[in-house]
Amino acid sequence: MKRPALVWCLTTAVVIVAAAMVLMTRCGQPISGRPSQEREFGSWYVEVQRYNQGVHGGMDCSLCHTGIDSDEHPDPENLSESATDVFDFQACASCHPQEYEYYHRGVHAEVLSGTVQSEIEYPAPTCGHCHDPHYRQVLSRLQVIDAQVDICGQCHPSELETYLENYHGKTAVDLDHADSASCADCHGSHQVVALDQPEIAVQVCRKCHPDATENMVGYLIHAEETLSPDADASHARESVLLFLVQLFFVVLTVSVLVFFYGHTFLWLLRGLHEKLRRR
Amino acid sequence: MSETATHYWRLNLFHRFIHVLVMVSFAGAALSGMALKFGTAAWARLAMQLMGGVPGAALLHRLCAMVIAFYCFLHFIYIVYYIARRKGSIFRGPSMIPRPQDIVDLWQHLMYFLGRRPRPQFDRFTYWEKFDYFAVFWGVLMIGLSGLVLWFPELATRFLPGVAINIAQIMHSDEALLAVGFILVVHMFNTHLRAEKFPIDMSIFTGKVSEEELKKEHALEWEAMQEDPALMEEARVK
Repeated sequence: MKRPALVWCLTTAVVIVAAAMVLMTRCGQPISGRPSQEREFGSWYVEVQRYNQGVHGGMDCSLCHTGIDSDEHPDPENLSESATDVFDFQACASCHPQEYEYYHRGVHAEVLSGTVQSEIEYPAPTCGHCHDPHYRQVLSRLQVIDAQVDICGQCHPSELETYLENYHGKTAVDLDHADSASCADCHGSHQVVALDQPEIAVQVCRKCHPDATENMVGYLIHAEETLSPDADASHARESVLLFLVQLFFVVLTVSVLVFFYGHTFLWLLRGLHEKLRRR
Repeated sequence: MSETATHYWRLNLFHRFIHVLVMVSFAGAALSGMALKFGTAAWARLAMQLMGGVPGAALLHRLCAMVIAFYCFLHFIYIVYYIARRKGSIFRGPSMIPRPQDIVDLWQHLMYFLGRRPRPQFDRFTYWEKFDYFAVFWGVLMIGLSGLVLWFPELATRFLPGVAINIAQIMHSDEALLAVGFILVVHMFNTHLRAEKFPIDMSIFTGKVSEEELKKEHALEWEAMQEDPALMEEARVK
């Protein structure tokens, strides 16, 4: 192969590989690195063999389903509703009193009792919305992270998105780093807290960053860069600031690259022209 | 290019040594950083595994950062030495300092690409070489300062508000993408891949350029050497 053709091929290859790497990172990627497990919340159907392999396997049905007489069938009218919504999870308290108590101190319980108003369209979750009572297996740390991302993200999609953009989410979810924090590590699992008070939030940061000061709480894990945030959103000013910073660097990056890629492309054509003319 | 052709020194041992440090540390920092930035991509997950997962990549990234800090330190010492030793102002004669002629050169070079005029003649340092040089300054400053905030967030937020960490993330990641996009395509093409240099310009490793190349690529420097035999003698490879 002649040199100009080689130059052409090589440069084209470099440009294509670089462009493909950038595109690959944005298009058609699953939201999390590992495939999410099938969840069958709300089904009335119980698969006994799988039930027996789960953590509750071998326990008698009536231990939890206390109100049910053996010959009484549930009202068929109920079957159109989610079994999770119909079941009374007070039954869990008999074996898990501590978790039950912690749950009642958390913000999900406050939403449920009406003391706190929530803008989220779904009702506040109780035990069964997060824990699968029939088939629950013992999960590894990475599986727990995935389960949190899947379950919490159903009702808090924008928090999920911003978490996955954050270093904690990138390392924990995308790159299998089990030591990174996920939802419950900061917000708690049973006693769920919103972390809008700095003096509480700093305690949470200190679990992994012992030297954290209250200033560090101002770091937005769920950062949103937008020019028009909700006026009453808690970080409206920071959102606009981050948007402008982002805009500055994007404009800088794009303008430098567009100018010099154009410069390179024209130089390439000129170089090829000179070489070909001489032969 | 025959074995007997006269060669001239263009880069001294210090320049070449620093460039090796820049090259190696950039490659390591860029690979480990991009694998985090684009963590959902298959190549990133593979690269991450090869570097020993997140802890291994973080270690590599920070080792490279220390190499970068080290060469910056060396370079600043060298600048002081260079200015002290240099005869005459750094604003005159062959110099890295940008000057109005660089804008003229850029314009004339673009016109040459479009076939409107002959190829302009360049001095010792061309405008794109100066841009490369000062781009590293800008990049190291932006990426280095924001990187320190990200490396030591507890310490940084003793003096700065917490949102500084968010700003540092944006700066670090966007500037790094610019640096990688620039080096891989523009710098590689300007120095090695363009038709006059292809496939590789070894002068960054050997420090030498041939007389033929010096006349063609740095005609104004060559003319100045013609007028000053002492300069010529000093630069000639014996």
